[in-house]
Amino acid sequence: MTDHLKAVAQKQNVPLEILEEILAIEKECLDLDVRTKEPLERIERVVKGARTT
Amino acid sequence: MNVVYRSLTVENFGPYKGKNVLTFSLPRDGSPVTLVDGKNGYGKTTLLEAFHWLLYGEQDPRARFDRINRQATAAGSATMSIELQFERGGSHHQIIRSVDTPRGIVYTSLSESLTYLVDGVPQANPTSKIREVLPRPASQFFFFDGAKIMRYADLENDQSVREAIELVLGLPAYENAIIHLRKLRAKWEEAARKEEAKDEEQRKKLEELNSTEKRKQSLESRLAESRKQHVQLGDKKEALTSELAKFEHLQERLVAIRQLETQEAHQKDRLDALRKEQAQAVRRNAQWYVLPLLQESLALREAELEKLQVVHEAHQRRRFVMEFIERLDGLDPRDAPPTLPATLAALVDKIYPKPSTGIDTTAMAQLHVNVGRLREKVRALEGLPTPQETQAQYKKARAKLAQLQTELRNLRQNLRQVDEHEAQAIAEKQEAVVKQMGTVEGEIAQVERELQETMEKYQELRKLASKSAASDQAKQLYAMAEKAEKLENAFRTVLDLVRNEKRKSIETEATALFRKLTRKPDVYERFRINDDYTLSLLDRDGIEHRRDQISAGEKQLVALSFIVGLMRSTEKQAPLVIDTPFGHLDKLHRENVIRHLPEVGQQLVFLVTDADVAKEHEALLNAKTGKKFVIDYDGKTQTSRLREVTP
Repeated sequence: MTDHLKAVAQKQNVPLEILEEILAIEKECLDLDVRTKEPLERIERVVKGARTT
Repeated sequence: MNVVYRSLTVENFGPYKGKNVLTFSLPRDGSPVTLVDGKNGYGKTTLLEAFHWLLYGEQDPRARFDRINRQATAAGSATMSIELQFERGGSHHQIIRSVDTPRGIVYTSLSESLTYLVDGVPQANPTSKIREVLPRPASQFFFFDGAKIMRYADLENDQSVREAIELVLGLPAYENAIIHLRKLRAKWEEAARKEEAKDEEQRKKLEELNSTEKRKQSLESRLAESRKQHVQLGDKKEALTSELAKFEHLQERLVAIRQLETQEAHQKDRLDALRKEQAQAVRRNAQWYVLPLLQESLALREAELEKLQVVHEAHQRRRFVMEFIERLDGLDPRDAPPTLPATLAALVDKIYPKPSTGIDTTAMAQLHVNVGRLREKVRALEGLPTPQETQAQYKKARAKLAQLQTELRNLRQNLRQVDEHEAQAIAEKQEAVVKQMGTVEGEIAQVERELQETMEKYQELRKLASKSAASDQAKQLYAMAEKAEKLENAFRTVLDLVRNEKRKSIETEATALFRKLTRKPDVYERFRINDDYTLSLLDRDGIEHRRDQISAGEKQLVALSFIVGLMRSTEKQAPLVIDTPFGHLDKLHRENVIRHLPEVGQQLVFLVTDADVAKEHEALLNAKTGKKFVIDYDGKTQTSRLREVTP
């Protein structure tokens, strides 16, 4: 799956680390069964912090 | 990360009294199968339930209470607990769920306690940790009844199954990423739109500001122009007023001319009179020169007449006296002395001597008439101005006339220089200018008002314009929305790729296993995992087999293959705890399952009855089994115990 992320990141010119970070948050929140806004807020911070896409 | 079970301790749970430890065979030891053999009602399914309760708890207090072993509680206080020890990612995990049941406590007050230890370290949120390792929706693929899994092969997977499959495959992380990024995108776009609305407002304000500024400049220009025009009109008006004043002056002149003309006419009349007088004077000049003579003659004649008159009067008086005396002669002598007449005559002669000459009364009367005439003549002549005076008057009148004529001529000349309609035109012009000035003044007032309003608006708009840079905010939000969209698209692509990869993986794994399990591998060529995770069995030509042509046993194999394929394709691999794994299978299929299922490398726990495993399969199954337990059941106490036996 990381290969897919890399390939897509490269092809679509998006930062891989952002994709990985978002995916990590989602996995963590999914595992923690977080249904609150927390992942959204965390992802928002990640996307806001992303320099370029 | 693979989960590998080490042991399951069941304490006072269901029929199991006291602690019962089920240790699992490890795949790395070459024997992935743990076999639990028990008859119906001994507690096989209870072990499956033990996994469920351990991992996910029981919300219903009655059901929780009912799970507690009666024998244990009958003896007094007891603890019901399940403990699972397993390996994951090189760590030792321990999950313990327990319920203490003090004597006399009512079931509704029973509460569970859950502990999750990783390498002996308690985890802060055990429930979440369990979800991470063995999520509940996926438990249907970890713990299941082999006879009840056909629904996965029924080609009618419901939504919960599809979600569970996706969960096991780890796809919700991508889907959630997509959802969250879409939400963020929507949120930012909405915020951007709001900002843009503000921007729009701001842009409009800026446009308005610009237009206001332009308008202000235009108004200022107009005002300046109007003021200039007003000044010009004022000058023009002044000039026209001056022109009109000139005309007024000319009018005065015209009046003067008329007066002069009157005077001139009068003077001319006078001049004419003087001329006539002069002519008469010239004519009278001879008489004028005889006046002294006439005066002298008059004086002589008057003197002569006076003498004559004196003589005449003396004669008259003498005659009166004489006549009186004569009358005395006729008087009675007794009345008057006789000498009296003589005396009186002598006295009269003395007083009124006897003229030497007689009086010619006619001549005297003629003289009187002549004197009277002469006197009138002299008087008339004396009343007339002298020729010098007449000449002087004439000269004076002529000079005045000449002056009048000069003035008149000048005035007429001035008047001739001005068109008689010009004054009217000028007056009209002036009127027009005044009107125009009025218009311009009105316009100036209007422009000033507008300018004032525009200035106020301009100032206000400038304040507003300087307050924020909302457009940048909107741009930033759109940029973030765009970022989110790009990331969302990336995740969508990744999700498609992962999903396809997973499907292919499941298809491959499931097909490989199924072809080993089925007795008709030449008929069933391969699986196809459809988009909704329903399964299709295809023949060599890729034709899908009809559902009604697939038997229950075959469906069980399909489902089992699918579950194994799913487990092999997921990152959340967990052991399969299968109750009655051979439910609908015939001997061959059972053999195939016993033979090939352990080969997939998955840790397996088979909960079987003595009827599930045929005698001819025991050796084969024992060969695959690393750990074997038998459930002993005590009918008296209605309790079960796990007893490890040699496979």
